[in-house]
Amino acid sequence: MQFTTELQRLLRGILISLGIVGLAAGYYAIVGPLTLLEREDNLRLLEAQGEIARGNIYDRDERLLVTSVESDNSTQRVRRYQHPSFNSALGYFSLIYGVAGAEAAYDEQLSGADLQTDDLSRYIEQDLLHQAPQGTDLRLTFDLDVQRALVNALEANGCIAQPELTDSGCAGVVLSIPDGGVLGMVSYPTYDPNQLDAQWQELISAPSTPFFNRALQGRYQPGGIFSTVMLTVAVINQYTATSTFQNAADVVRVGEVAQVCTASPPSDTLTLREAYQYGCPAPLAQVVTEIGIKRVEPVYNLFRFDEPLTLPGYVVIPVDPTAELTPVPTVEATPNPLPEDLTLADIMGQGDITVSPLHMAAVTAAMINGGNAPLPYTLISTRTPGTSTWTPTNRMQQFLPITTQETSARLQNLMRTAVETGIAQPAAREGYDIGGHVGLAFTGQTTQVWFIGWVRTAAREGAVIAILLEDSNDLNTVADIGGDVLAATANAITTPE
Amino acid sequence: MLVLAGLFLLINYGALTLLRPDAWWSHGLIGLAWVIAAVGGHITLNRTLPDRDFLIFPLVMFMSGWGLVIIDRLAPRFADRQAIWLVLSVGAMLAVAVYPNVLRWLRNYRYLWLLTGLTLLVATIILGRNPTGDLNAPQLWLGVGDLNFQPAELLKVILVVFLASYLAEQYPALRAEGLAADGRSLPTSPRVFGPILLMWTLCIVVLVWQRDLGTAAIFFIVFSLLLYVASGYTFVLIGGLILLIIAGVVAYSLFDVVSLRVDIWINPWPEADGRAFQIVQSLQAFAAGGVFGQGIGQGSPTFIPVVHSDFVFAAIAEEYGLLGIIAALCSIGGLLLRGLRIAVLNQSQPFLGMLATGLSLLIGVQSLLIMGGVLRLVPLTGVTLPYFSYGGSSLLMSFVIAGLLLRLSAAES
Repeated sequence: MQFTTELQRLLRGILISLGIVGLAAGYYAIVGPLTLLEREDNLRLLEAQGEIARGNIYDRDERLLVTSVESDNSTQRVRRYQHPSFNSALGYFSLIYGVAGAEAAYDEQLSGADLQTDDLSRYIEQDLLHQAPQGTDLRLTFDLDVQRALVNALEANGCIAQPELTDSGCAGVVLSIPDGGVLGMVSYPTYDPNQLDAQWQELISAPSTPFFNRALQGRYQPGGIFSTVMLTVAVINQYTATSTFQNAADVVRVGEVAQVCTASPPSDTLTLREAYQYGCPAPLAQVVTEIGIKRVEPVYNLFRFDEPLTLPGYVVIPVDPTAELTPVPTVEATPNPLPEDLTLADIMGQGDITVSPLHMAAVTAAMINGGNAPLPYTLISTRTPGTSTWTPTNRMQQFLPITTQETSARLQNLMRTAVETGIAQPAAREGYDIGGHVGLAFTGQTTQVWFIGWVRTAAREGAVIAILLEDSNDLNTVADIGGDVLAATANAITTPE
Repeated sequence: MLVLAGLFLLINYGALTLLRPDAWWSHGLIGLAWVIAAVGGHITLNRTLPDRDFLIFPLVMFMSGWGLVIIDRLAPRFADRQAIWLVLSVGAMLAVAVYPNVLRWLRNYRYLWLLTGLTLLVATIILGRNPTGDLNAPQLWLGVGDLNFQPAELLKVILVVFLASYLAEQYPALRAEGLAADGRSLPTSPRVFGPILLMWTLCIVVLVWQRDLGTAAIFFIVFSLLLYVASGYTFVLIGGLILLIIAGVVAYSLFDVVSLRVDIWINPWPEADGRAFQIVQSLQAFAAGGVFGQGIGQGSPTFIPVVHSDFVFAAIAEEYGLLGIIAALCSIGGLLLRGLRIAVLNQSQPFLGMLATGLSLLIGVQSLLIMGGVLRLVPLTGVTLPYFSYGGSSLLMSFVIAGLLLRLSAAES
């Protein structure tokens, strides 16, 4: 009795089957890394991201703002945001909720993806020894003192960080002159990036939209703050500070909005300086009437309100975070085309032109920077893992040319006067060269107040600020906040490091 | 080879201890259990079965030791229990291998064994439970308190014993020229067709009542292959395949568990985050392991649900790479080769030859089903990888099979 033949066939079949299993395993082992591992549902990618020791973030004086720490009983690392004052400024990094803000803008550096390592070193360090990849440290333009001053001033005047406690927002941006580095940025209400896991659902459904960065994404009616822009129009068109206007205290009606002098002027006949000083819109409206809207338009175009400024790569959550379950952050700025034909309402800041605090800060910078508005940026230098030297970024200084040096000098003087003796007087601080202006804007049934201003620490050096308070008509308060922050900023940027 | 297996374990436990220094004593105890089982088994077998197949015991100890390491790495809380099962299993293997009359005993009481097996199957249908307590999961275990046993594992061996005995008895008739003495051609002979139908019915019962696709498939494939070996008739294989496909199609339309497994086998990608999560993670484990693997404790195979049981092959792929997979395949292939070699050497006594074939096939078919399932070559069946996977019943019966093969190898000599 023999069944050798059948057993041989069986054995062949089994060996072939084992061979097929081996080939299939080989296929996935060799081809898989190029296909399967790149899939979004590969949890290993997420885990690998969590194991990366993301680079630290420091302020301009090398004070630690963000670091990565190992979580308990795990190789995973979590980000620790050291200062609550920066909650709205730096964004967040989360394995679950993604990455936003400055964390997203410099994700490549922070995660170490930009580091040039040869394949052998990478293989030995990461594949063989399983050492967690290290990211690059960043030194940003932010200044802890300025940021704290901004937060303290806003909070002391009714701005609330917690999204569940308020529906009204506040925003502020401080830029350094002449380079345009962002020294401070606040958007309230905001979120705590250390608490995303616990609070995410509440945060994305909060009516006060804490992920919405008002300083960058906010598109607000400029209202009275546009008098500075109109002033530029007037000066460019050969009007001087002493040009006189009759019926200067008249009401200017734009649509349903009636604009009047912010402060009572001494008489009905005012110079251009006095009109700006008291916040009277009528003389500026007269300028528009006299020169014609067609001559106003080219000047307005210089301010590039149609191309809202943003921070390079700075990822923000879309305006309506509740539109999707998981909002997808974006670097796209909301398009803001200028109206085809400017109307008086547009020119007076109550039409279709809207602006962000960042944009207003940048154009204010032109006033003390020879007429050139520096484009804002945040990254100063980087430090690769294992080294102690900071390498400056090869950033080309970029400017938005708005006006001439002479015109900017005149505007500077007018803004200084507005702080010294005009409606922005609460911003004045003894011993500081501060200029600025306040303005009230109407939005539907509510109003908001603006302050734009600058502080000079040397010729063409200093800082600018733009502050916005939603649901407020308190011009004194917003000017006071501006003054506090500008003074603190001047101290911070002149203190030797 | 046993020494090499011991070294392999030592290195792996060393690496695990570096990763989890606080569990050094646990690693030490588990390693000690393996050493006791290996040394005890080796000495006992040397004394009682000096003429046994020299590779089977080292191979099964190597695979079970590797499995122990992986279970300790993937699910440390199950490792102690698996180590106890290993000691018990080696004891059971020795009992079977050393007992001189075991083969006669098995053959003479085959109907009693079959009755016992079927009784256990019925008992499982009525009293079955799942150790997880999940009432929606297949209730394939019988147990008291924390102690659970899966009768299907025992039933597999009993059926092979029974079939080997039956086919050995029918062997002369099956191999007789013409077989059509009763006027029937071979394909329609009740000697062939009858047992096929009986086994098919049994498998359907298992599938319907227990929703145990894996066990049903193993029963039927092993039986078809055994019948083919006994009869030498290719029709048996074709007929078996047709019946398997028919059962599969019917089961697909009737049972959610079957349709789910077939659907995710055909195209898992759209449901990679849902129903196909397990298989997609398994394939990604193979990709993550690459050729050389991530190293013990360095991969992420724990993303695969129940990886320590059904998907231990994927864990090997991720942490030991393609080289580890080849080593595992060689180990399983080596065991099968030795088993079939024993069958060839015993073919003068059909029962012994058929028994060695059937036992080898049990290991081979079960291994291929789960390895193929984990690699998406066949639908997932949810069976364990013999010797490697966590599971006391599976380990125990796998070692009983090894014991029987050792006994058979000594019998031929």
